Amino acid sequence: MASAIPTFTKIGKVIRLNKHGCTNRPFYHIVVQKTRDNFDGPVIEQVGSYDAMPNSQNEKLVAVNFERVQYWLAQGAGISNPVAQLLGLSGFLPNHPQTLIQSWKNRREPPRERKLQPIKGIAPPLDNPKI
Amino acid sequence: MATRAAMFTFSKFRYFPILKHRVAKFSVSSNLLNASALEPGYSRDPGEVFFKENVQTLLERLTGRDCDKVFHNRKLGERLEPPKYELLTQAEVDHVMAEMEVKLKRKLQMPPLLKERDPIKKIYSFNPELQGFDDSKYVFINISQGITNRNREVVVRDPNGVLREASWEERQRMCQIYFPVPGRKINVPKMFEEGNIQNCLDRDEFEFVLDRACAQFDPDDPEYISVTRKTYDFVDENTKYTSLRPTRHFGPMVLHLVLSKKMDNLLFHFINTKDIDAAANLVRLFHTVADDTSPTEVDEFQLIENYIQGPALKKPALELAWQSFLEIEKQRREVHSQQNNASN
Repeated sequence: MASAIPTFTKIGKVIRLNKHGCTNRPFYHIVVQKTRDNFDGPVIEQVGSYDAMPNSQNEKLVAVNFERVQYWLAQGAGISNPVAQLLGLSGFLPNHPQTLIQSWKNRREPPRERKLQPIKGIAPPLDNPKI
Repeated sequence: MATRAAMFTFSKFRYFPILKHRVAKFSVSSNLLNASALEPGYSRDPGEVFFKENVQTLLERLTGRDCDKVFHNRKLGERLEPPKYELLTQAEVDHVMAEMEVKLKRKLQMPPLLKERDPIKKIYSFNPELQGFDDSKYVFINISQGITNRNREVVVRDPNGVLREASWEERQRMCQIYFPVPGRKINVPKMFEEGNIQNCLDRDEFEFVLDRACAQFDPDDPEYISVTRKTYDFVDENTKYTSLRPTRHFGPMVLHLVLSKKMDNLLFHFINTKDIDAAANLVRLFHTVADDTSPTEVDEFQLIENYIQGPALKKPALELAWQSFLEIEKQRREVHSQQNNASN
């Protein structure tokens, strides 16, 4: 693997997000897995976690075992897009182009508001629809 | 800036088994801009004074070792066991006593008195091109093994694109979430808020407040310093020293009083309770802290007299107490000598 940023291979080990949690409450494990395994299949090592729901202090918590991530990258593991973005945000890797593109898009045009219609007599519209 | 790598362990909240916690770094800096150590009237940087050998021995002697009170039954919500009685040889008894010494030392290990830590202000990078990627901050913590929580990298990416080191509060919260310390809550308990502490202190729950503060905060946390100072000042004003006397908090309290020049109440208390050793040790501590000298007088009575005549602030009350003590002492000696003569 001669590339600076590990590229995604067909079959090999990859560092990616596994979605756990429950409905309307995602929670991701950052894991090292073989590409072909399912999200609920065998995991080689869990290398962190990412909580996509902001907490009461408006923070999204990301825990990463950087020492092990370094090890697996050295072993030739790939990284998935979201994990690469997270690592870029943390400063471990350079900023991912996707983050830059998304930020630019968000600034150009604010994310579309989903307008939820009230269901007559049963449910009022939500106060804060998730964008 | 001199850093001393001192392995300092101190006991945690009484509810839980004693843990080892390393206070890895405390720096003795002569930064004049950081006047927080001097604000409440401390004459010197407490971190400098606390760890000196002679100061430590003096504080240990002042605390004493009342085994009954140190090992008193605590209400932990655990099942109580009846005491065990064993028949032992002298050698076995000595062995057990040696073990108890070790336990006693751990229970009486004093939480350090440090000055407030400086806020963290380091910025790693500024990427304004990342503005808009999200509305919330991303807090990253390095969960690698083998690093202490004090050195753990905790980094925050703000929505405006700044990548900075997490502030002390964020850092402590994150470390508590991912590496929980028993006895510590993630968010600061309501007990430490203004009105609520006063409530606890009015009910004489000094040891509880101080133990919990020790478990919840690091010793150089501004909140820890304010809570402990409030408690120490309250105890001093109401002269309720006996409840804290055999605990591990007595040493830091005495040092706090000496540094903020409020030790006269305590000296008064010692003279009234006829504890001359403690009074002499207190005066010796005063001299050590004030100008690093150990006084030359060997006679304790002379030492205390010199202090009362000299640097004391509450001279009238102290002189009165001292005179009445001397009279009682004289009468006691007369009675004692009469008894000796009678028996001879």
